[in-house]
Amino acid sequence: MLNPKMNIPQIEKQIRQHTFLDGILEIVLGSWLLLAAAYFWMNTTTNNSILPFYILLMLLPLIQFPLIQWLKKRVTYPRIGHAKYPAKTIRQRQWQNMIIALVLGSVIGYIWGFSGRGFAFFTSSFDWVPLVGACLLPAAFLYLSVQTGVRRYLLFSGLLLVTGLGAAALSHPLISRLIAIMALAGLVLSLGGLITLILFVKRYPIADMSMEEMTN
Amino acid sequence: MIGENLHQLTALDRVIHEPARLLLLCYLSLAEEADFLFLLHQTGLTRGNLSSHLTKLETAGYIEIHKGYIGKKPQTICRLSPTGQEALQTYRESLKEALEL
Repeated sequence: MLNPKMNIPQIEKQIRQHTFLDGILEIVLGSWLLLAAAYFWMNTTTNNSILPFYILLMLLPLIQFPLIQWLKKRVTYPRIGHAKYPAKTIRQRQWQNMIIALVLGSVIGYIWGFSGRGFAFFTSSFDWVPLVGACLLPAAFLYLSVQTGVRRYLLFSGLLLVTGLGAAALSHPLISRLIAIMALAGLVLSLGGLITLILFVKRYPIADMSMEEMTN
Repeated sequence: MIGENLHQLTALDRVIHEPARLLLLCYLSLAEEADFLFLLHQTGLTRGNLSSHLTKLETAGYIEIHKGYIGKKPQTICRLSPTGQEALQTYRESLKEALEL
């Protein structure tokens, strides 16, 4: 059924939301955060650098967009189709990508702080690092929610804030709290993304992408 | 004066004037190209309806349709042609002028 109240901005919003229906972005981001948390946890407990883990951790931000595209081609596009965006819309999406880069940057910030080469100077007397860390991801998801109109991201933002602040308030060493923030954020995003993906797959079965059989 | 402007309504492009086709052109003007499935989900039209409207738009030269394959599965990709872009713009201006929007 055609929606009689549909207008151009609504169509634009609908097209933007189409990109985020599957939850793949959250799964990839969440997995990366979990991987980062695991790496740092192993690094503190064993006191050794785990090289293959480290390489994977550094490689994931570089391959995440091709990885998302690869997954979308196999899971998303056969179900809900695909549209290519013109340069103007791509510019809008670049803003979203910048936010994602900010999220990843914040994680690199954690790495820095954790390794003792970055925030170590401040952390001896200040307790703001985990607090800022706990607020970065929720802020990014709040922005994404406003930009895209995807309400799910608002829920993620709230959950990330609650879990992040909870972890930041623990009476553990700074390193443990940063790892806890990362791990909880990773868990929230991966699980949230996975639930979204399962619901998406159930709601949209694989369909024929062609109009071939319909034309006379 | 109003009557004169309203008279332009009769000259509106009837291929575009149909709501479903207008919606399709709007989608295709916002996306560089879109496949059949995407348009199906976005517009909420039935397969047969969508297919028939796309064929009409293609016949009018307003859209280009490319049929290809992804692996073994057929895929139909639609794109707004320069003629379609121009026709949509003209339609928009004519309607605006006629209704004094």
